[in-house]
Amino acid sequence: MDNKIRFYTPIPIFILGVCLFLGVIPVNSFAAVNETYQQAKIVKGVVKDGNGEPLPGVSISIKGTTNGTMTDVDGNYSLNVPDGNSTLVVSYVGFKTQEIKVSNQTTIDITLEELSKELDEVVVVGYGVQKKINLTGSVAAVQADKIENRAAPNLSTMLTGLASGVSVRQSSGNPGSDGANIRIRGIGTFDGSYRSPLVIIDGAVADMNSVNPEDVESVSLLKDAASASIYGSRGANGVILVTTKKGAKNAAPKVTYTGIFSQTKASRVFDFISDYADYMELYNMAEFSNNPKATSTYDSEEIAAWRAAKANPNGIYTDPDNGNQVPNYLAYPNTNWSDILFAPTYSQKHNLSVSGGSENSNYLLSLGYYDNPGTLENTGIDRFNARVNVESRITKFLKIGTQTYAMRQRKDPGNLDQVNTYRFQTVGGIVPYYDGKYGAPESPKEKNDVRNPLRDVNAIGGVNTTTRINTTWYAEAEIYKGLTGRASINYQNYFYDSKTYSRHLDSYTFRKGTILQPGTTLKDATTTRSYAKQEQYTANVTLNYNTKFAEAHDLGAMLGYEQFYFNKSGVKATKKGLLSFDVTDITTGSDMYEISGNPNESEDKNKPEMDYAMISYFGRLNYAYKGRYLFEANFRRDGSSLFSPDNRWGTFPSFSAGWRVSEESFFEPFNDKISNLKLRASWGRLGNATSGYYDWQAVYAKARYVFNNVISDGVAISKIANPLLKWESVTSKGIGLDASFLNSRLTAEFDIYDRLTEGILTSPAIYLTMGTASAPTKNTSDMRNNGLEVTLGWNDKIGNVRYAVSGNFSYNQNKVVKYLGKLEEGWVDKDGKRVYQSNIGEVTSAGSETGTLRVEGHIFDEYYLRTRYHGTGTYYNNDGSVNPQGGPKDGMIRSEADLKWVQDMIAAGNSFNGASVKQGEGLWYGEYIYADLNGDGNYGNNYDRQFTGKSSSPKYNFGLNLSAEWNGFDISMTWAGAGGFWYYLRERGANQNNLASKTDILPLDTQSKFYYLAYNKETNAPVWDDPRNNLTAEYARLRTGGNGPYAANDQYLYDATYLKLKMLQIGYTFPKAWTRKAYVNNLRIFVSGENLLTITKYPGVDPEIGGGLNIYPISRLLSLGVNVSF
Amino acid sequence: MKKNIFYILTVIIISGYYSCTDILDTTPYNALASSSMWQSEESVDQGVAGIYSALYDWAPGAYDADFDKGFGSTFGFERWGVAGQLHGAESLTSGSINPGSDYFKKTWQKLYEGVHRANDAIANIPAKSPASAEKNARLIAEAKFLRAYFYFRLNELFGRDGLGVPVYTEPVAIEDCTKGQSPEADVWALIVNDLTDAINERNLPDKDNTGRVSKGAAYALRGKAYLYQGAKYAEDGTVSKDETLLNKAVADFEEVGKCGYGLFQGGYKELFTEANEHCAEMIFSIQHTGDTDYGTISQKFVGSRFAYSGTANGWGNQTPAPAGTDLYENLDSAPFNWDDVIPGYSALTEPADRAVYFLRDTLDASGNILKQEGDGKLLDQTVRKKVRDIVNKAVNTKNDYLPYGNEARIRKVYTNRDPRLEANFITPYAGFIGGYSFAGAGNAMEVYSRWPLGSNSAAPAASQRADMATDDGSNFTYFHRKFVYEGTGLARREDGPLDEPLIRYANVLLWQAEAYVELNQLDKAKAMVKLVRDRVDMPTLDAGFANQTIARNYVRDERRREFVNEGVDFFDEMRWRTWKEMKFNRGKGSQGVWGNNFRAYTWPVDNDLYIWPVPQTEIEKNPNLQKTPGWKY
Repeated sequence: MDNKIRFYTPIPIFILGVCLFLGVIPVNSFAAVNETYQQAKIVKGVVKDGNGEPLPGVSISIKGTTNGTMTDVDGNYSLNVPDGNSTLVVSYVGFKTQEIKVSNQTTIDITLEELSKELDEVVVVGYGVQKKINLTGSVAAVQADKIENRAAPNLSTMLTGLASGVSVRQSSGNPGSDGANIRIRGIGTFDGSYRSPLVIIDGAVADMNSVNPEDVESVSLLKDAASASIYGSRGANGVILVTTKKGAKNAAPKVTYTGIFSQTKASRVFDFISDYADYMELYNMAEFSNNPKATSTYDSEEIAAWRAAKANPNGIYTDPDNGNQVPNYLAYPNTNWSDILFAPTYSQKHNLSVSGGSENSNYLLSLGYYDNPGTLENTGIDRFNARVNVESRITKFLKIGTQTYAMRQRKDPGNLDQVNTYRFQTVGGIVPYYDGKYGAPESPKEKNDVRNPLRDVNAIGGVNTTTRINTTWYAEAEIYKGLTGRASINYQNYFYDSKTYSRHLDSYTFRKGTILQPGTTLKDATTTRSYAKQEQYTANVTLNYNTKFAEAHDLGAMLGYEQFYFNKSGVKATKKGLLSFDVTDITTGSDMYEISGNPNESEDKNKPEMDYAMISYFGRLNYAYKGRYLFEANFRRDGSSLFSPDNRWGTFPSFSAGWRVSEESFFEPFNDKISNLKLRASWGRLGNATSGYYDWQAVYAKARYVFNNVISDGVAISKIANPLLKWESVTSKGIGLDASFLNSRLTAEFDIYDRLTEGILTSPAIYLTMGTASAPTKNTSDMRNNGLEVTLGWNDKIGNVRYAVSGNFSYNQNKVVKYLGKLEEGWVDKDGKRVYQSNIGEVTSAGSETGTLRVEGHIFDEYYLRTRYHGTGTYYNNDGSVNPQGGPKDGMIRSEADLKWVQDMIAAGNSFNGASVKQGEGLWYGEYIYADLNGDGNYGNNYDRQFTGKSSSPKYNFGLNLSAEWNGFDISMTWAGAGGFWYYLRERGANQNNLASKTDILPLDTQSKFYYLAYNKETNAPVWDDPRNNLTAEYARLRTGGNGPYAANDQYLYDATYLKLKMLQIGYTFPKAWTRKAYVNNLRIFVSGENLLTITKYPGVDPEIGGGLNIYPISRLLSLGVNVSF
Repeated sequence: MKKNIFYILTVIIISGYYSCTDILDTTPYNALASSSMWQSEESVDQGVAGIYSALYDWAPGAYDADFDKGFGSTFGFERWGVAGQLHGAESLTSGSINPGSDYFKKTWQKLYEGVHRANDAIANIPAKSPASAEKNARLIAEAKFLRAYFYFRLNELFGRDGLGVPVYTEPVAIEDCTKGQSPEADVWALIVNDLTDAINERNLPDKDNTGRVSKGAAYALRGKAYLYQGAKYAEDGTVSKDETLLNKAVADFEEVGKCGYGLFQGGYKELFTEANEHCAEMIFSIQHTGDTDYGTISQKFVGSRFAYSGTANGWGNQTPAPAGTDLYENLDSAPFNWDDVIPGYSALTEPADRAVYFLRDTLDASGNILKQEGDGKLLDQTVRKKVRDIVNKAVNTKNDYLPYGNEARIRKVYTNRDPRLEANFITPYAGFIGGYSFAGAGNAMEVYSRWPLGSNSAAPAASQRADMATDDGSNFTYFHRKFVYEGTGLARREDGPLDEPLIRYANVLLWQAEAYVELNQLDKAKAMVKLVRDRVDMPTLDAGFANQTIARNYVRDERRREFVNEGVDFFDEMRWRTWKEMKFNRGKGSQGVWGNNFRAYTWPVDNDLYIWPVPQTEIEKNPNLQKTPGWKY
């Protein structure tokens, strides 16, 4: 079907919706206009709070009418009232509503009484708002005060530590790609790209990090099915609702400026050996340890020269070949690449907003600018954004409005892939950059092609520009008493435009002053231009009805219809050969090099245009009896293009109930201690569409071929279709308890839940005889998450100090319930012989190198590893035979006796996974042996692996928020962490003992970390008293070559539990009395720090990001900020 | 009023439902819907091209169990031939192979992919294709040839000794893909049938020069099928023959020439260039261009560090084995003997002793330290030290190193030999026009195969001549010249434009020679071999055909010389049951130029490498399949 038609269908729906509302308006709008304006008079006054401070923006209306006004900045109001019988209704968020009979008064000053906040607290839920007190589902809400004035790069990272049951971990420090991975209540499905919660910004699905955090009014996290099932097939991983700010009604324009300047610095890096002489020596040792007869790569004169030069950095080096003279620090560099690559820099954020409103309209305009050059060169971004939120009442019954947002981001094109590969294969003996020149290896003994990673990241020029538009238009009508309708359409456009080109960067040897590694030639230089586009629209119509009857019954109903369409496409073209390195437009390239599809898609060359669509019907019913018994039901019916017409419709219901025990009469005696006690229970079903866009369909895809030297592509079936494909279904059950004690100073929330995902999509292997077409995707597996969440809060005042503490903790347990079958292993009798059998190959998916396995009855991708052998160290039995339990105590061959025992074991018919005793890659001094867990006499074969009960997903998440205020000073901090998760770490530069290739980087503590034993060069006999020996080291022997007898084992599995001080902010607000004189309403200055402190025992770089060393570190930000409003 | 609301609601929902659910009917933008397949002439052409596409990339990859990187379909098998070897370790030759290996899985899977694509076309074209009857008939004939080709490969690898492979001749659903093996003879019968259908098809042209199947190709493949069944060799050298089949083979091979195919006479080296890839000798080859994803990956895995390849260098994972180079005769057709050039060489058993003869010069004619080419500086002192170290390690030949003249002496080994030696290999101290592209400097440069490597072998200055090296530069090996691109013209090492010949006329002639040998018509056999040798001006002596056994071996050696790097020899050695002898007993391992083993080969104790096993997982899934005898599952 034609795309154009697809795209334009929502607009008629929107217009139709608006017309329908308009059509019914006249019926009501003229009905109630008659009785106003009799003996009009004017009432004036001031509204203040309990402390005598005037309150601006308080709504004052005349009961039974829609007439009303708002107080101004000084709390003054003035209102026409029809007569003395009128009653003023004075209401303000956070205060108790008062009703005052006018009588004869013309001046009525009012003092509003502050409400205990919770009773009035409203949270945003799917397609509406609800009083928190009436919630029956599990919803965590984060208000603007936790998000404003933060230096953190984006909204997702700001949510860290704020809500229970929500794991928020930043995935990278790379500017523009530094969003957090958010997981609500554990891992819901197998495929990592379908575990994120659905993010809705102002009613439409959107990218969370595209929104300017300063524009955000509130964030709601819908954690259970009861609250999320209104989003049906997309809510399986929870839903995050982001609502942006609006202008206040009848408020004078308020101009707010926020500026934050930050020093940006890598929060954690890993230290490698930078001293090149040390490196050379260690490399020689490693080589020697592998083969004592090998000629050393680095000779001792070179090492000595390097050491001498380090002691005398300003001495002059004269090149023997061409007489070039340079100081020693250039001729003998010792570069610490971690410091050079991730160097401190400065970033800044500015935000300006204007908001306000009149009787019928309100507005918010905001502009933002963000500049972050990144700690790694050529990876920075700058970003502009603008927002317009306007709402206007055009007739008495119809409001229209828009929320429109635009953003433009430019990112430097630095080639991170190259840096990530080569920064672990370089040496300290290179000058990074000096006097406009990049350095190359200075030592003539070094491989000439060792790379300078700083040059690598800069070797590409250009800019990647991203532009986003996200605009919503809506109309809201009060159709009938209690019945409102709303129609809205959201359109989003994401546009990515990249132009990159090769830069000519030579690498020099400073010793000779000549080029060692010439940069790209013009002939080989490339220029690339690429575009990617994503468009989507969401159109919906909802009807809302609320009524109260017989005083005791509150009833609410909502019905809605929604239509969604998404499309992405792109093209990338590269030409080779440039006229000049300064003229890089793609039109000047000489040879066509490559054209491919969407550049934003992953490595897959097949990056075509793709689209999907959804149609949904949904509704909600709320009922409350005397505010005590609360019931809610939600349903959604979704139709999706991802599935065949026979399977594309699914229904997702949920039911929940609450009991406000504290409202019962029998509870009255406790009410002074416990102001609120509510029990909640819920059940619901959600869907998760995790398949590719067209997996259910049988299609013929391109199959490359050539005839007569001309590309003549064919087609072939590339994936076998499965028309039976359907949603993964998530059933979520939970019970919860909310309570507040001691006049709401202490609040508590407690939830336990069970979340079962059924029909997880996998592609079980098919017969090889079926050919290479991909196996069909099928609903096959089940996984369960259950856990508990606790949030405790305390707020109080001591003298002038207001303070608040809140902490959250959650525990989640994950288990694969159904996968390929039960794992069965053990000894069986077969033809009279005892045979060890295991069906591990059949019931698990291929394990990874780090030893995780996916199997029924265990944690998702649980570590499954060998353990080190632990013996008694007695070696032999009394009869002189070798004792299998008598080997080395900690499983490392450290002494002659250990090695002899290993030899004797092999001679006695045992095996060490087939490894033999020999120096190079075999069992030798400083190598590990593994335990024989299944007792088959083979130590450390595949059957000796065992489940560890550990995985890389946190079992615990915790957060702690503290804040205090005193006389204009405020301080707040957020701690966040995760626990109960492990990473497998064995990497070069960290703890890998063998240097697989020359110039592999070494950790700073190499000398103490790894076993080392010297040998006599002639006889090859160990020299047990060599001063360089390290016979008690933790890790296997330092050597060159391959992995040898190493096999993945639990020694390298590390607890990654961490606790971070994510944010600390200290501010001072100048007294209003002073600032008013300068027409400044509010002036606050603050200092803040983000990612200030990490407490962890994990030996890698940063457990928050992930296990390995190959990361772009998260930044620590030290900031100075100002917030001023007029 | 309430009615009014109800009415509005109904209108919204119903209008939404009826007007818009068709937005849910999305289809992929990059694929044809299966419902429209075979219904248009274009889709029929594309469906048949899809079968040809299955010829791409079914050889093993550059690393053990790394199949997906695509090693091309022909030269990937060269490493297991007499003249090839892999630099790294691999399970097939190290003795650790088992039926779970990716070699077997992926080969099995990829060949069956070709079968299914052909079945799809053969079943659907007659029923659906709107093309002319003539065109349909020709395309079906092509599909049948291709199906025969895939079954041929399956049967010769997995179906030996009567076992056979599962046969599917129609499109099959997953749940029906559970057949057991059909006996080997039945599979041969299917192959012969398909090829006979192709030959009998009027609309299939005799000869084709665009890369499509021709009648000549069908004759050649059918002749080969007859030959395979007509002469079966045992490991002990006995041969069981069926003369009827051998005569049928000869008859088919005769037909190939009548279809218009013949030997290319423009030179052996020139045959393997783009200009001649569609000449009359190329009966059937896998078609390539240099466009991204359409070329061969030979430059990356077979070229050296100096085989220029756009933005990155070649690697040289696969190099020639010295055993293959020794087969090239002297110019007068006498067998090559090392002792003629270096007296006593063959008696040296210690590789360290032999190494001395392969070292580079260190002094010039006047006895001064040699200067490097290009920069005129003295030869790197590290190189001189390495030379001294190697000389010092020699026991018996310490005094044989000539600081000046060592290179000239070893060059004599490679001069006055069958010209195919230098055309196929880069031998020690021979040059090669490559280019250094690692840091992006794209200059053509002549590089030399020398030992030990100078420091310039990793990243030479533009003016230096570099020493050729494999990826890790740790051993002195021969390098392939055939299918390695010279100069700096190649845009990407992954995409070489040269076609990969599957059947060329020289191959047909030598098959025919083999058939004549087995029919004991040795004169005719000699005549066939002579045609091939005349092209390179090598005399064909009677001595090679003195009796049947000698002739049999001579024809085999001729094949080993002619088809280097075309992935032919491995299949030959397997068929002749000479693989163990040639590769494991004589070769013993991957070797440097002087026969130093750097990667030992071991014939496995439990498993029979002469037949490839049905993959382990397939046996587990499909109980109808019989485990391959000789393999430990």
